[in-house]
Amino acid sequence: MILGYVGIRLDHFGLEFGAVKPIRDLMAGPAILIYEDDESQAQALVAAFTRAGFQAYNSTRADEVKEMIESKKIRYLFVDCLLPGMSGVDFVASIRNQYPSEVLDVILMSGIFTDAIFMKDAIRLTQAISFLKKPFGIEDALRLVKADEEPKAKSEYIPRKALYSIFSKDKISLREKRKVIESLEEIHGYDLPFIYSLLIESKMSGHLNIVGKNGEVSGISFSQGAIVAVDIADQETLLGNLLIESGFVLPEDLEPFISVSSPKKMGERLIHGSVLSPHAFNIVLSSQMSIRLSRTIINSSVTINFVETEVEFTMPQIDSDSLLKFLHDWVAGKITLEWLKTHYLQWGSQKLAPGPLYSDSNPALEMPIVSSMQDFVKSVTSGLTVNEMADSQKFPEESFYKAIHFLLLKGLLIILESEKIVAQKDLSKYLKKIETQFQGRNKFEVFDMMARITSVSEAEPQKVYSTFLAMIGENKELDAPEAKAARKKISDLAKESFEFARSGNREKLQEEMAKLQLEARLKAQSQFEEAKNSLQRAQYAVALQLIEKAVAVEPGLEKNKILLAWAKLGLLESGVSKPGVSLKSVQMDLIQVAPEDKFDALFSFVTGLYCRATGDLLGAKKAFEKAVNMDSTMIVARRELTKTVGQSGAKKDVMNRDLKDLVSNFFSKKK
Amino acid sequence: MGKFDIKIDKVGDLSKIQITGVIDEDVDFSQHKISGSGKLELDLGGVKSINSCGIREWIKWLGDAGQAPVTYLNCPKIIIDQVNMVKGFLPAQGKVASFYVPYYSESSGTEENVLFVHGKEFTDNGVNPPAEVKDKEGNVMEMDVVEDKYFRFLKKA
Repeated sequence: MILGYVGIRLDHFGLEFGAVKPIRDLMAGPAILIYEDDESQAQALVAAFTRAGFQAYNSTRADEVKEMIESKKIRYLFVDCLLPGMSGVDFVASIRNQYPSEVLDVILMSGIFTDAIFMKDAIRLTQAISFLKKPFGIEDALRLVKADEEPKAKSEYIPRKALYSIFSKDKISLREKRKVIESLEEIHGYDLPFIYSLLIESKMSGHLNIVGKNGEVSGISFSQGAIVAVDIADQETLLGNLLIESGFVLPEDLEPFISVSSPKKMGERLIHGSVLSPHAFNIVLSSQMSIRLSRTIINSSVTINFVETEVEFTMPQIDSDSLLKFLHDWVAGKITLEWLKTHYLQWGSQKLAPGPLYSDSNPALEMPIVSSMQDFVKSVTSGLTVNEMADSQKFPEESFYKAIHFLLLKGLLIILESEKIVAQKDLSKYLKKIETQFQGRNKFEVFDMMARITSVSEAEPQKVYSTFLAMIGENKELDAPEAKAARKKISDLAKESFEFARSGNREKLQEEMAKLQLEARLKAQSQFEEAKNSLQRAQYAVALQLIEKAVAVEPGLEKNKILLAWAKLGLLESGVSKPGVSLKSVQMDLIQVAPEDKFDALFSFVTGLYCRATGDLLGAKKAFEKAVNMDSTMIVARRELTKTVGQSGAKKDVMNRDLKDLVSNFFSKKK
Repeated sequence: MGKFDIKIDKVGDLSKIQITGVIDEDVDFSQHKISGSGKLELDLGGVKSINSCGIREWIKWLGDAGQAPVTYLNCPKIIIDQVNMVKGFLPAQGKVASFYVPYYSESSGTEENVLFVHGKEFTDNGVNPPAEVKDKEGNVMEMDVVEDKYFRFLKKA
């Protein structure tokens, strides 16, 4: 019985997004209550439902209806919109507030309020499953309750879950994929890699328009399986700035072209004016696209729409193979462990399996976040669930979540729809996991997390709450006292957070939190700046401490992984032994550098330090040279280059340089 | 005709603007002055696509209209999507007079856009969809949008 219950409950983590189906439904036919002041209509419905094998009741009084919802375990409530004293919509809203955890499917009825907008609003406010316009045939009402007897027929569609299940579907048409994207409302910036991957793998063409919380519009253009343009409202990555930064053009060369307006694009004009070579232009354009694309992956919510249209296939472009590296770097360096753990809670009891694009020779399996874990691919495709894998602790937690997410983004790994029956002890673990995630968080943050766990938009607090309660099941069906305690703690917190979310105080707290966060961020920024100065002065231990403190408050500090690696390499070179400071940890830091930061001279400089620490003097020399080329004022890079050249006794040898660097330097105008 | 075309007819203080093609970074709206117009009526039925650069240019351009009433006619889905998602895409003093709603026939797999006109298929209070839309083979077609999302702009009106 217990296993049966858990198995059913966990359906709601499933990909078909089922609404809650309590165990009582399995023991007896669903109970139906008609709340209708026209008794003849109500009795006709009761008679029809009874003939069809349901337990049906009717009432004309609000207090009686409320009492029956509890005592009769009502599953379906048919409510007339026009009731004496209170509208049916207001009554259902009050029921939802009073019994937020009650599994109750509401069907609204009206012969007067039949305007489409009213019906939509009423359905939204009451979360009704249907609206029956009077007069309606009895078979219409029967269809609604009978449909629920078929598995999955009455499932609730949650677009974000549908998105992540796309690669699990054997046959899914382009139209269906487009429809899933169209149905998405607000998503998280960390969901964008999946959408990019999906659009590329599906070879769809069109413009993905993205609007950030601040109202800024950006966009990605796709053509036949490749990204061909990335547009963000950002001054730093304007072509002129990048050309100067990369040394292809001097500011004074650019000036005449900026001051004169022309319908022609800047690049075209510069090439035409022999200020820039087409090759150098392509290098910079490609860098611009990469940096801009990475900047769209933000830790904040965004709204999107996809305009399907023909888009010219132009160069440079990012195809499926090139996107692989981006996906890897975003997962490794941008997407946080906290986000991933919350994201995968909803699929915890589902099995992982090789996806349709899986092959042993797929280059994704060779990427560091996967290949750094021995036997990872074998384990992850051995039929275990996400929770079983995570709980086995066979792999470091962060690496595990990042690796499965990376493979899922590429469609190499899928989460099977079928549920695994979960034992009580595993359910306890699951509840403990949620409890840990909630720990130390305020109501605002807990509600935010509930929305992410359930994949329901924060704008629908009632739906977030009821879906969440369905996910954690009911106390009475739990055996272990610690599971009961965890469940109670979680549900209390969830209730408080839900009430808070509805109260209107949410916005107020959000503002207060933003203020506090700003203060903490400013402090972190200042510690971070201090750390940079310490690094310049070769005070590596101090720098490391400051960076760690700053990043604990502000994980998104620009280039923090690079500076962290620099501090560690400094300590290693000085022979200072410190826990957590090793070449392996430096390697992990460098893997996690955000892609846009890899175009920085500092990254080349630290790569040089790393190469030298591993004995690769030639690699070190190349990296230091690159850093100096990118930023001629970088004295530390010049110093380390001289030191490395001295160590290797190497001479400037054109044969040992990268062709790309060589060509770039040839075209570079920087002195 | 290029990939973008715009025609402006001035009738008294009313500027009737017809736009067709692609609205993107190559469109130079600054050549088409709308400041000083008493009223603007934009027929967008021929707009084929719009990207983020186009959206930004559009908002900037319509900002020149000042407080002049703006009416959008024959909006395709791609325009309604932007109206719903991007603040300022339909100016505060703007109204949608007609727009297309996609329908789909499961039986024949065909898609069709049905024009909803203010006062007929929709009003300021809501939508009154046609009782039935059929494809060429006579199969009943379903509305092919997420209604809560697609008709959201009507609630803002």
